[in-house]
Amino acid sequence: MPGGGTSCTRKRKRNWDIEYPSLPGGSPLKFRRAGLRTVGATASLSEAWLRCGEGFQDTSGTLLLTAEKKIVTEKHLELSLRPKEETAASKSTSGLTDITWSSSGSDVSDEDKTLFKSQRDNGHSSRIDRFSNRNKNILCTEDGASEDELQFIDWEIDSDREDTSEYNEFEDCESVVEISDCASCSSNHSSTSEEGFSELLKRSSTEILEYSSDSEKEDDSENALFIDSESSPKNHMDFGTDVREVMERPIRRKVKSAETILYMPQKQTFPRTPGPSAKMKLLRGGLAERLNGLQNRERSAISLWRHQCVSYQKTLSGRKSGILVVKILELHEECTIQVAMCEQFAGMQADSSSLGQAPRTGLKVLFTKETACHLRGRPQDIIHIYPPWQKLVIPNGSCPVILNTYFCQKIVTKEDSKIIREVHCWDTPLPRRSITLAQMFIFKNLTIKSPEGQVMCSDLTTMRTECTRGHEETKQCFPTQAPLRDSLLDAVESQGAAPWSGVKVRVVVQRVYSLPCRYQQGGGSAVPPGPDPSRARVCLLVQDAYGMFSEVYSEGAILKDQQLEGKSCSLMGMKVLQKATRGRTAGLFSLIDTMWPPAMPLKAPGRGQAHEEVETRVPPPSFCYILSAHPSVGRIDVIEEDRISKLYQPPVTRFLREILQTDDHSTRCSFYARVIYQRSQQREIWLMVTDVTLQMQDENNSGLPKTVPVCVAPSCVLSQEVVEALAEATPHSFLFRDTLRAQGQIVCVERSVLLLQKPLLGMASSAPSCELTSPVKLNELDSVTQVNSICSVQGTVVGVDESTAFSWPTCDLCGNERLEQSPGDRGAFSCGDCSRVVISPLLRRHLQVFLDCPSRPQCTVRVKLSQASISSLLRFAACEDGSYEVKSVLGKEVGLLNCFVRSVTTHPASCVGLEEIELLTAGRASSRHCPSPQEL
Amino acid sequence: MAAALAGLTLPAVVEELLSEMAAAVQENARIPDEHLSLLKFIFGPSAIQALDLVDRQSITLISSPSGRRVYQVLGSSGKTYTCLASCHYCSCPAFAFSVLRKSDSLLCKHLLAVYLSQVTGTCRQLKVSDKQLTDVLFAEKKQKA
Repeated sequence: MPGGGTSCTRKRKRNWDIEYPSLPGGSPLKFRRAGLRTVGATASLSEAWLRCGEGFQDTSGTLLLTAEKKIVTEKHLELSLRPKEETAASKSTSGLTDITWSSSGSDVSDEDKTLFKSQRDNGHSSRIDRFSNRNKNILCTEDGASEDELQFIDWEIDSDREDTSEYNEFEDCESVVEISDCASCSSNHSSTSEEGFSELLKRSSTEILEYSSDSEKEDDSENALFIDSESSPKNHMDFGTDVREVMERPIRRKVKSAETILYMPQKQTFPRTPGPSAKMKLLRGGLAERLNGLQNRERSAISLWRHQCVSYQKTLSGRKSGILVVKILELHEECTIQVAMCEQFAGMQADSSSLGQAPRTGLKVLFTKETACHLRGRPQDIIHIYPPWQKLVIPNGSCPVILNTYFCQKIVTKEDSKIIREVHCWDTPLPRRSITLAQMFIFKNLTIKSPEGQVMCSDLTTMRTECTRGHEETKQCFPTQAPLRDSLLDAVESQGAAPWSGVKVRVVVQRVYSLPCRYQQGGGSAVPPGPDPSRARVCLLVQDAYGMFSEVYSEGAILKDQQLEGKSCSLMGMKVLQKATRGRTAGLFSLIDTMWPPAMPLKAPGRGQAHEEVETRVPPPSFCYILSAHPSVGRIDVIEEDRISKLYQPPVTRFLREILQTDDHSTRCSFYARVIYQRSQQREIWLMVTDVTLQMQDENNSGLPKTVPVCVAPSCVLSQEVVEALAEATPHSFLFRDTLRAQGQIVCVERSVLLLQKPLLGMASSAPSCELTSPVKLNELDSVTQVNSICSVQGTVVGVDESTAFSWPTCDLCGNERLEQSPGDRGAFSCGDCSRVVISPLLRRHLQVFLDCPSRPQCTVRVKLSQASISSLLRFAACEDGSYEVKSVLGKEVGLLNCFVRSVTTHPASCVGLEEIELLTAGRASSRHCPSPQEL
Repeated sequence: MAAALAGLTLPAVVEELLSEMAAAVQENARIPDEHLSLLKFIFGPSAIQALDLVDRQSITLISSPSGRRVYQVLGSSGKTYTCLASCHYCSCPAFAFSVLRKSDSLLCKHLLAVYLSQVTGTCRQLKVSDKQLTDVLFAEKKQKA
């Protein structure tokens, strides 16, 4: 804040906005036009500023003793009188111009204002009540300004300037800088006597100091100034303002003196509508609109918080538990953001008693200008940061960065004298570090598409960091000697993006599953499921004693299947690939949610080895880290070979009926089921499954299907064993673990596991079984039958699709359907696969018939029949010449046929496309004909 | 970029935030709320404006066979600003003032919009001849003069 001194940069900035448009005529010119008194004011601007600065110095000493509530209160009682008068005066001024005032997109809501006002009236103040409304600007345009411009100008913000004014040339800006700081001072001056000037300055500075933007008075007087100066030919004007109905009153009755009646030449050019409707129109459903919504919520939260600073934490903390307690070590500015190097106390929980003993970690905390202004942090200050702060881990950065620090509070523990010294400290501007513009930001996720690439990338970063760190770290590279820690978060925070060195973390393996190597959460470029183990990698979902989860990608074959599940393991040589958040990796968190609340009480963060346990009713984690085992140093070792950890939560299997009856969406569920039919469609596999609860249910009352389709998405990696089992023609029972229920369907997605049915680790012996004793029954085709399901159908043949009916010979031995006609011998075929002449080829037929079904009377039901059904249907229809008579088929009853539902249409006509199938049955011949997609 | 950023936090924060946003878009085709509020935290009011520019698809990457690349951003006033693709530069007055002169901002809203359009993948691409691109740059210069 160069030159800013005690005054908030906010103030300067706003004033700068206001003044800016009146250039480039030069500020003196502008003021001269406005009238003699203002000339005087202008002429003494720089002098005034100097005095203004003095004013700050005089008052700030007392005012900044914010901890001393008594003093502050007195001060304000005394101060609260004069400003009100001024407000009245400036009201009248502004009223003259017929401006309607509107609230605009700023950090502070109108409620804040009211809040301030009432507080000021009470003569009651504390520093947490201060904030800034620098964005509340209204812009007056010159005559030539178009309506369009006004619409967005309306809601302001600094960088809108360039859009609104062609006078925004660089040289203009210089003059702005020169005068901006005095803006509010001169505004007062314009309606007061010269003698009262510096006194006024003091007063308004005081107000600024303590209320920062409370400043209704301040705003008004500024407006007065600029209205006053508006006779300048070029005046795009910003007014810091907000909705105040007083402003809309006609002013004349309030006018006190000639000075306050100011020339207002362009009142017709204020085509504004008050309220948010006049704001820049954001695209519906756009990102800007979303952020705007967020901001509105945030604003009211901020105002509420600052109002009821202490009591409010309780309600807020629902979002992310914990207050961050940090001690500022060093402060500097980057742009207008304050960067504080801090030391963190005691994890996430605020507990003043633990200060001093707990381990401390380095953090960088960013404060916006407004927060910094109200916080007035200094090195050695202890700051409490309340949720919803956010932590950003920069892969090659030294320590995590804390952002969204809207709610923070300085904990004053020092004696008064010290505070005063600090106050003076604050007057000196913080060092500002300038930022190079010579480069663009490079973000890895755009250039590198695959996780492998990211791994490579972080390898490089790692190398770089290691190079810079030099050799002092090399001696730590003996991971086996490292002490065993129990917090993943600590390990991640202390090690950053580099592979962990000297860190071993004890975790419990909750799940083991495979992810496709090219898997990207969201499934865009997932590989098709297949028995190619080289394209999938084994991953572990682990949890530490604090409840923190991590997904660990193993490199190479260091893991063996499910053997690790439930065991306590130590992780070594990990590195962070990514921070996963609930929003970004919903799939992972839907799995984590099945393990929440934890099976046993967790350790409280920040309490180290104390084994003090917290309640288990903590909110589920909102983020976790995705770790990758480093190819050379990464190790995952089982700590206690035979014991299953108490923290382990095996998947809870349920019966299909229960699952279908609960309609919780996007949740994971596990069940045992028998696959009675399967079908590959493009990259998905559809498995028709059932269990005893679905088969046993009463025909009429449940409304639940007898079979359920389960979609195996390409992102679900099937083990070799499962792939082989599915290839067999016999029905198998599987454990479907952690499948996702989404949009009424059960889907095996990433992190879902299919296991051939066998007792699960840690599972009670009363595990549900889907052993079906009787033959599987299907639902009959009806109005609720869905596509990609199976059903049974019976009905009368009412038509034959002759255009698609045909037949072809196949090899009677191998079933090869591509027989070649033998060259010399007409009518004889040879099979390329068997290398022989096929003497008696089997004739296969394709036949689709239309059925009249009693269960779907108004519906066209087209069924592609199986070979067996075709044979039986045509048995009596054959003519002597080998052709078939359609008439002899019509009216025949068929069914019950088991069918796969290929299509269901309701518009324009109700129509169902079925394909007769053979269910997998234990006794079936192995020469099953599995329809290929081409044939469908 | 790391070397140039010794001791600096903000650029690294922005870079990481944009990276995370890009990752989120790739994974879920959606930028999480928390990223948006971080954007607001860091860039203040420019964030919403930049997002609005992105929503309106106002960003075009113009490239020519010689490898020259510039971004053109159609401002909300209907004016077009030119942003260079190789360094932080925008032809708008806010850049000249807030970024260059005052060092108050890291980026102007147009440059931020350029980044965000890369994140969301909504940056339009336009290939022109070398001559045309030269004209774009030259016109810019003339406008400034």
